[in-house]
Amino acid sequence: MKSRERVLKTVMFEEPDRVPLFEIPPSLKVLSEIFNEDLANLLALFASVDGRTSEETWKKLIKMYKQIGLDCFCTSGIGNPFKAIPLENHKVVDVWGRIFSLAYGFTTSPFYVGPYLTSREKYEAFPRPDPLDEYNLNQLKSAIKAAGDDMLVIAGVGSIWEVQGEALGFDNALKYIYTDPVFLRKVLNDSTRYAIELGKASIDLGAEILLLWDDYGYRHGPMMSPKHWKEFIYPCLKKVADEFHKRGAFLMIHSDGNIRPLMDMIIEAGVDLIQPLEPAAGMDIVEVAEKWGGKICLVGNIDVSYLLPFGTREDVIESVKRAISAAAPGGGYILGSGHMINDACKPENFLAMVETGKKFGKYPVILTNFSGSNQIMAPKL
Amino acid sequence: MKDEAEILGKIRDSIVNLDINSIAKLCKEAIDSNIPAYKVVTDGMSRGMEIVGKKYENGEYFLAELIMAGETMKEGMKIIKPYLKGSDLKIAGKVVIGTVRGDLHDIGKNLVVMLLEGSGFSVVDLGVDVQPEKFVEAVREHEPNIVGMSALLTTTMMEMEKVISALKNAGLRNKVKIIVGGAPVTREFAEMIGADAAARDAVEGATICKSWMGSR
Repeated sequence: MKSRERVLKTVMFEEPDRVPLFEIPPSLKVLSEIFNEDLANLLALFASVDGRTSEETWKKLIKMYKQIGLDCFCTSGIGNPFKAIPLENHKVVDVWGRIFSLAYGFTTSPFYVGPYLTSREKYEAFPRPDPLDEYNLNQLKSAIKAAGDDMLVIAGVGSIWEVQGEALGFDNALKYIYTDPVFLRKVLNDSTRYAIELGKASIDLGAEILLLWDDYGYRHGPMMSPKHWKEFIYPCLKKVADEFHKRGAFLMIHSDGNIRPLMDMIIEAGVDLIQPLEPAAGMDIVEVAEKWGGKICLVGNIDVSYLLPFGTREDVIESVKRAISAAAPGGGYILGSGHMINDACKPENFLAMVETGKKFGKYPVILTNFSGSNQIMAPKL
Repeated sequence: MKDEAEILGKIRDSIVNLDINSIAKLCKEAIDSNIPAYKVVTDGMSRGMEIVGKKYENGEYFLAELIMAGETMKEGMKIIKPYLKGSDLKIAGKVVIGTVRGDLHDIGKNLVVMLLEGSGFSVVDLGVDVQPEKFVEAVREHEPNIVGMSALLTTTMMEMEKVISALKNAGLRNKVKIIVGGAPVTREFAEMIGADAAARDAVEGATICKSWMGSR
């Protein structure tokens, strides 16, 4: 079975030949270790003018993803990084008004360091990003072309809450709930419009699943109360979902953190897939599958805080078997990491996750009885 | 003159109800009624922050409400600060805090600072991306009771152990209690690196610090 069919069947709660695999583009550091490639060369490839939009770059990456065994991956859709405005000390302001550091010793990707639009006046004076920027469209076009029949490309279409929260500063954005709700609504409508416009164009280019990057939670729970979420985020999310459904496409949300109190509303808004189900924030796959399995396609959940960076191969195998056993019967589960394969993840653990998925994810899946909670291990120093 | 308890109660409630627009007026009223400034803090605003913390712990309040409560207290402090005399306020304890080297996340740490200050702690905030040597210098200079460290990333969490080693090497480890927090941090991890406690979130962090200092 081809990846596309495998993924789409799963999303529609049918059992394909095996559980599909999804990752956000994994860390270049980890890829360089797996494929014995020089990290500096890989980084240089991305820093080149064409960056992620170039078909050659995608071809190289997709070949790696395919060799690893992924069925789908995603583009960002967050806007043109080459339109970022440089600040001092290797910092830039991106098209949304978020400050990134490009020279950070601990990570191989640009690193969000703070908000640029720290007042209503600054937000209003800042130009809105163009959803149909050539960069967004070329990135998707070249990814779809490079993937061919081999993999399904999920199209990133921006974000409703997260990018705006980062641009304003999450603390400011949360404060506006109380001090300036009219402005906050306007801000969220701006990003909703972006997502819909880019989504429509992406569907025209052939995308079948569209992804919003939208962290609603942190470790303890949602950043805002479920009541405020319903008031501010829900209407935007529903609008996006309705527009995409009208065109026969699916909506996927990437949200970190503990979002259990929001799950029913996320489903009601029409979201079709939810990623990454962060176990370190208490999103336990057994509980999540019991409560929401069959209502929304679950994606991810293999821990990246401890398990993939520090765990043993056996730990990883155990965790993957547990997730498959809990969530995969009847379709509706896509295996993947509980956030993304970051610089700290051990390449061999990433590969063990994929291998186990392929081996134990064959339908009909073997049910294993796992007692106790999803044990997250402390690192071995 | 209005009843002291009534005014302080209203100040407490304005924090609990996140009523950022009326706290300044209430604080002025308190000063005009000759209520000592320190009492406005300890028996008014701090009480309010305590209730906010409890509401957060039992799921009634969220991050947005914690931040708003902090902002509301800030508005009140603007009025009260000029009337506060150094000797009036009993300091609950001294904390040196920072986000460790390589990590720039500070929402959680800032909330801890806000909650600690609200409970009468004196806090030296070293900011983000703090080198181990900086922690050592600050401990030497400020002689705190507690050192707090924060990290959001698995990659940077390991820095916490380096800070503890640096404090050990400087002979300062046993002079302070050490508390760590942040998304990937667990109790097991804290134990392993030789910290005294791990906090699940900002409210728990502040509560642990208070318990160490023997205050409520």
